[in-house]
Amino acid sequence: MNRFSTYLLVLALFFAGLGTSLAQSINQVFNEEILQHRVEMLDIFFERFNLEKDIEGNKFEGYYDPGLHRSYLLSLFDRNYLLDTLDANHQEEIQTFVMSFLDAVVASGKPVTLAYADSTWCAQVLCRCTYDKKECDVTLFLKPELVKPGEFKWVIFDAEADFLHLTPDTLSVRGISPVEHEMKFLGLKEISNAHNKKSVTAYADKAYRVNPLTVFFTMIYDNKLTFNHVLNVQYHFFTVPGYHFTVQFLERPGYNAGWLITDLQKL
Amino acid sequence: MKKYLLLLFIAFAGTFAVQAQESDNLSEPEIEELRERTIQLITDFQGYLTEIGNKSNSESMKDYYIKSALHLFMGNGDSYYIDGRYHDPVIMEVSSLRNGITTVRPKPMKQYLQNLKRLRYTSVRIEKAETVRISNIYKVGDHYEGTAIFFQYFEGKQGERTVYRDKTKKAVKIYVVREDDDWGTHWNVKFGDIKVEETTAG
Repeated sequence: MNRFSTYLLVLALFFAGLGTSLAQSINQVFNEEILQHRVEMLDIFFERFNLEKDIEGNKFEGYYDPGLHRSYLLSLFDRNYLLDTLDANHQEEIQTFVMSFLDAVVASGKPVTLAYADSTWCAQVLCRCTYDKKECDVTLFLKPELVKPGEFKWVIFDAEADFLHLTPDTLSVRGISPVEHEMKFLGLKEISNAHNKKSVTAYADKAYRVNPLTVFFTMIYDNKLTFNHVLNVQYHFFTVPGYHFTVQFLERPGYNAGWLITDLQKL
Repeated sequence: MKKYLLLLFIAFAGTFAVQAQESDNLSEPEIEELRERTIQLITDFQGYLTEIGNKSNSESMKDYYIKSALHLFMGNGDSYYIDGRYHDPVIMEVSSLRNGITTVRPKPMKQYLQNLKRLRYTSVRIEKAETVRISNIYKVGDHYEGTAIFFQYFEGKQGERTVYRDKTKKAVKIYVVREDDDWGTHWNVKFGDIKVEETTAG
């Protein structure tokens, strides 16, 4: 039995005690044990990742147990990521990789912990907006920022959507005539005419790069873009040295649901 | 007399409990107490919803429960200011996922409750799971904010026949605001927007 299987077994035992109560609650509308296991809040993800609180929300006290910590960390992974049943070789590769991640978190008795105040995580939010009377999607990137000691706020630090790049719709715009200095740049009026305005960035210097976030703010400011609602949220964590993991909300029946790690990458 | 008792009840529904200390900062025991209070208010809200949807209640009684329910929310269902910033009236945003497409329907809370009143069920059954999740409470300027998640089962009947049922997860924004009134300075819990999602949980 490899180390991964051992922790999976611990995880299975961990859930095994719930069978009785599951049977007891079959006639009730909700199964409270399942609800308690689901990682419904990101705060709960943090608490379990850091081995601060158990499933029922009680604080862990006493000695630090790296084995228990590994099991808790494993319970925060999307089972579909861990158990690729289609490709046994890939599954083993993933499991070895995940074990190295667990080792990195539970490093020599001084575990890596997640903290709200850290600058090592961010949110990626897919938003449905309306631009030019048409629905469009914009991805915003947000991070927590310290306002003053003990106080934070989320701030937008990047935006992404094709139309935010102001890509010229034609490359035929030549630019401003080399003699315009003698005309006190009379020809500048051309940049906003109906034929040229969609290629306005072609008038910039070669090194110029459009900042999509500035464009996003400007469009909101000028009422050209309106925010409708959020379609999807995922979080990226760079807190564990050498790794990047993604956390998404998985709505499905059973214990392995809620905010879970759906992807892990080596940096 | 009954009328005055009702008015008194409305006046105090949702007000709370934790007498504010000299400091602007909430202590850990105060935060714990506010968490308990939040769970109580969620239960009250559930109770109001059941009564609003109950066809055997008179129109005026339903209106009374709507008023009581709205009293739990910031601005009593109207637009409001907090920390000097304007906010639109609180909404109930209902989202559902069908064939991979998410549909989102935001409704002002007042309208949501009026719609509930007009539902053509002879009876509704609303049950809440015991499990309620409350996030950390964050300081935001002169007040605190947090989130609570609770699970609700809704069943609408016409006669003996169940014509609609769903299980939803509701995430409600919580505002903990300091209020001064005849009873002194105290922290008051109020609800903000609610996000509703169908759930397969439990």
